Amino acid sequence: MVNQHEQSPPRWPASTAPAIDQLEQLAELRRTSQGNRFVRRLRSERKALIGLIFLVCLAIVALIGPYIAPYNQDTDDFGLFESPSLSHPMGTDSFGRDLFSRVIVGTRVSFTIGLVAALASMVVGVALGIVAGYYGGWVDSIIMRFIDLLWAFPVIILTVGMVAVFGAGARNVVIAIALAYLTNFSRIVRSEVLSLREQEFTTAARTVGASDSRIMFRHILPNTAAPIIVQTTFAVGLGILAESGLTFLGLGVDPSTPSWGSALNEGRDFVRQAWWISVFPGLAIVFTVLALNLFGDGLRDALDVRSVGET
Amino acid sequence: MTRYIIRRLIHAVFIIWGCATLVFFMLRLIPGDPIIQMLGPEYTPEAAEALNRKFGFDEPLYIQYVKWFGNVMTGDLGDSIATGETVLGAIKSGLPKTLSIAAVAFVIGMLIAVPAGIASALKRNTALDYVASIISFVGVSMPSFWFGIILIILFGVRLQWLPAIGYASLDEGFWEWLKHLLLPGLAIGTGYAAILMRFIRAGLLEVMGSDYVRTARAKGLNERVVITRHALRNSLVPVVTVAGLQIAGLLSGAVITETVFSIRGMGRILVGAIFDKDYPIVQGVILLVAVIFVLVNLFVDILYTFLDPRIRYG
Repeated sequence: MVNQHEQSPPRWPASTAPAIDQLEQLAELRRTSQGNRFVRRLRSERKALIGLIFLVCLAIVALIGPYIAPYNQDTDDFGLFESPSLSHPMGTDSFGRDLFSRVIVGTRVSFTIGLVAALASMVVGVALGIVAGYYGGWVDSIIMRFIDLLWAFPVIILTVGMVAVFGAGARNVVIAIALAYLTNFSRIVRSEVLSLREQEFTTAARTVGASDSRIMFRHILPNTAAPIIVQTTFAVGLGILAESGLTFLGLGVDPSTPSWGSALNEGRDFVRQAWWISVFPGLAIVFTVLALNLFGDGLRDALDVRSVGET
Repeated sequence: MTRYIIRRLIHAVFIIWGCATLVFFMLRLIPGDPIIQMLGPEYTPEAAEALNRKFGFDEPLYIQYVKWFGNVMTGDLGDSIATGETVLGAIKSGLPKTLSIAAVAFVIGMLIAVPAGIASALKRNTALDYVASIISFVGVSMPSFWFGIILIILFGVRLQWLPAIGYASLDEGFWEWLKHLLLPGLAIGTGYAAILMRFIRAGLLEVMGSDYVRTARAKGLNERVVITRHALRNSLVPVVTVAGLQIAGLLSGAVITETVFSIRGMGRILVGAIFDKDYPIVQGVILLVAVIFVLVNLFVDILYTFLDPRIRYG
């Protein structure tokens, strides 16, 4: 009795088993070759590669920043406004803190805010876009009117307005940026879904009794992955730019937090004495966003995405 | 055509109504009692009482909404809490400055983008094209306010060629006005040019491969005529849309860049009002910017249908 249980019967009649095996092998082969093709294309995109390498370095700096910074970012016992030198490669700021250490540690703040805002924006935006495109009708109307309304405000005005209502601070900045860029995701995903829902595999899924949410998230969503990934890459860059802008205006993260935007905010008051306070944190922003844009652009070509909103 | 425009106009009216409603609820969304927030350390029960009456917070929400909406429609955006001047007055003093910055930035952006875009399309895959493409990537990735600071350090502080900060109105003479706007205009215009250049390049490249360009060449027209008369004109259609849509970007850029150059335009007024918790000003400025944004988009859409007769469906 026990033995019979262990030898479970084959799932398919013996005669068809080899055919099934073959099919599975074929599918596997196609999957890997598709993956390989993508990797090959990405490799041939030199700008994507440069962007990616820089991003990986940056991610490492964001992770271990506080351990590799030459000084503690809050130590303020150096001279005020020391110009760049070997001991302080980026000089010191108006409090006598080492700017290089603050820029390194600030990587984490700026990067995290950009990343979290972009991901939040993606999750909500994609969900709204799929639901609007899939159901159509009044659901679509309501969601898209809301998106149109958000679209009517320039991003900076929208974020500034939200921060005005809910107050400054990292969390509110993330929410404001996420909300402001959500429209991009919804619009892109909705237009993709409009054509995908008419395709045969959707009809097939419906015929075998798949639920709406299963069709939306298991069948349609994977097919919109490429433009979503590309857009997310750009959104991280836009998020970093928005955060630095808000913080520069004094409406972003707390000024004592070592972020690139807060360094710029401080540097603005001292352009005459100490150019380095403005120049270096700004360069950090430029290189980071540049890397994201290069990577996103290369990714777009490699994934063959037609027209994702320009940066 | 007319039907399309009317439909777009109605749509725009609804969007503006939506914006106004959203802005109305802004004050009501403030966590806690907005009156206490606004008064801050100057809180006294009498002052709170007076403000409550002024904003009509003692009335039911729908009455507040109708009254507020009526006021906005008649151009009454309320008074500033901090200075007592009308919101409309504050806007009137700030708007010309912001529009001036945006206008100069627009011209500078065009002056950079059009030649650069055409050149890099015609000299595709040459060193020139690559350099232009790299510069454009950097331009897109650069915060305009940071570039503004760099320009101040370079041209205002080091070389002292141009005034580093401040604004001169047109009454003080065109050159004086322009001199103060060159640096902020350049700060914003460069990013604008970077985006535009890529579209001009892509548009021209697409058109250059088309049949009618080949026909024009086959006729024996010289290359310059083919490009200026046949290719360029058609390639500019999508560029107009992008140029128009990015005007909103110019305005947003101006909002932050004003802080860098200490110009009290709409952006500076808005940020100052947020620090002062001067919500009537915040409401008024945000509403105005949204309305401008919607109108610009509307204008661009309509312009597009004029430029490309194929798009007259709506």
